[in-house]
Amino acid sequence: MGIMFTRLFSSLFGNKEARILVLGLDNAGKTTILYRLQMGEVVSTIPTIGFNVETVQYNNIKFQVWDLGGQTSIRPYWRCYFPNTQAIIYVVDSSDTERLVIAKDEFHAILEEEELRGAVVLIFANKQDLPGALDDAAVTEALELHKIKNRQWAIFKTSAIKGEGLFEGLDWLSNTLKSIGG
Amino acid sequence: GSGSQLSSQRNSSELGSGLLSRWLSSHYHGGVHDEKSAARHTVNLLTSTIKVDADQSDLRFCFRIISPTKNYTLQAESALDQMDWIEKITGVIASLLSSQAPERCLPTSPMGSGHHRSASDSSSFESSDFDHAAVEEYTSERNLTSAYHERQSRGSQQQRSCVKSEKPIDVLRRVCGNDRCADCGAPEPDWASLNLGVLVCIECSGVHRNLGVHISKVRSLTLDVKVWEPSVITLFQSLGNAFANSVWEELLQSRSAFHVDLTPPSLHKSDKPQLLLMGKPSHSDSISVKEKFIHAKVQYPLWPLRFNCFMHNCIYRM
Repeated sequence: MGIMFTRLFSSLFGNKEARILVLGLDNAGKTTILYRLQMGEVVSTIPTIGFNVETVQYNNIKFQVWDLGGQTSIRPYWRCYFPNTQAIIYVVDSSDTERLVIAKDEFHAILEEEELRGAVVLIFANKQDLPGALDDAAVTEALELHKIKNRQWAIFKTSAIKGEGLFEGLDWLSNTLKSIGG
Repeated sequence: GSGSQLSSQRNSSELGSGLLSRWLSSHYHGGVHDEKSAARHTVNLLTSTIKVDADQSDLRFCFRIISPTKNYTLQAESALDQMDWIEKITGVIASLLSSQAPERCLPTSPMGSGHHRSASDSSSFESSDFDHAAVEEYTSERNLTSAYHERQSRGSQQQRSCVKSEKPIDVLRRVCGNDRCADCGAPEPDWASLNLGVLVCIECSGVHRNLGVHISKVRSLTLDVKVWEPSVITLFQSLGNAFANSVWEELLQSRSAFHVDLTPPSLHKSDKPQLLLMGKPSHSDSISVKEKFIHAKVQYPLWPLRFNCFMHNCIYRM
């Protein structure tokens, strides 16, 4: 009884665990962001074949962060990971302006998924350190974020290499998840 | 696709020392401790990943197979065995992901390309029984190379009546110099820089990606299916690592020589090492060595503009 009570107690009032998917085109910076969040440092990355998953503890929330590979033929498998997801972090390479249209199409396709109806969306306009990177307003426009309906979302300018903007985004995410009781 | 199933029901005599001594299973939320029921579970490796278990130090030689919904902890018999399993399963996952990619048919006739990993056609994977057999083969034979050959020959038997088609990787690997990574010489490169016109290994592709898309646009030969339009293939066929490097690395050499010339006479004795520093890394070199070389190689500001424009037009016309 004592053990059961403890378990029940911790699951209701202890650290919340949220399942987060990090999505975006190949080479958007998803893996660099994951390990920057988890270890606080920049790691040398290679293209992700499959996915990486790590636990990130922040603001009293345990995030189970799934970083899914972004190559064209792997994208159809993203949906296998959609069930029970509380939030999407959508990462965009803000300097890859030629592929923003593709990034937009993939983004809106994700939002239409029934299994992600309740998920909040955090967009990282990443690679702000690179020349020619669009700012958050320009990325908002390119991704047509104004079309998002019935969903909490936010966009942040980030540089995973410099460590800028990531934890501001995670602050928003944890506050939003707490407020909706996720 | 139905994907492959890795079954834990194995005949121990077949597996020999490869038999996993323990198979634990648990849901992410709350555990399932019935090992008998866990032993009947199958897991789709296509959507799974494998991880060395760092947080379970009480259990030696453990690794986890993580699927979208479940987490399986497995224990090998020794550190060597553990590494072996991890390597094999990682190979299977990578192979499944690239094999299931929708194929692009090319009007070229297939030629000898015996040891290419991705030689089986996508339709070979339509039968789940076949998938199962393939994974069983990989994991029980403990020899990926022979498994590849085996699967390939089976695949080609099945495909004999089908339309002959070739994948971008098979077409481009035959181009002069494309059997090795343009930067470090690793065999069988399956990544490419679209604007530099070279094939590179996955590790060097990581370095290229870090430079930003304004310098190198990296795509996979097997996982990025849409980009390999006939016009891009033709362009890549007309280049090849040997030719591209003759330009890139010549520029690199002359630049090093230029630096040497500028060095004050008193330092001339130590000039040689500067040239050697720019020497080509080998695939066993550390990532930082490769990084240095690739940065020096591709960031040359006077790279012929015409060539760049040509590449750009070819690639972004689509």
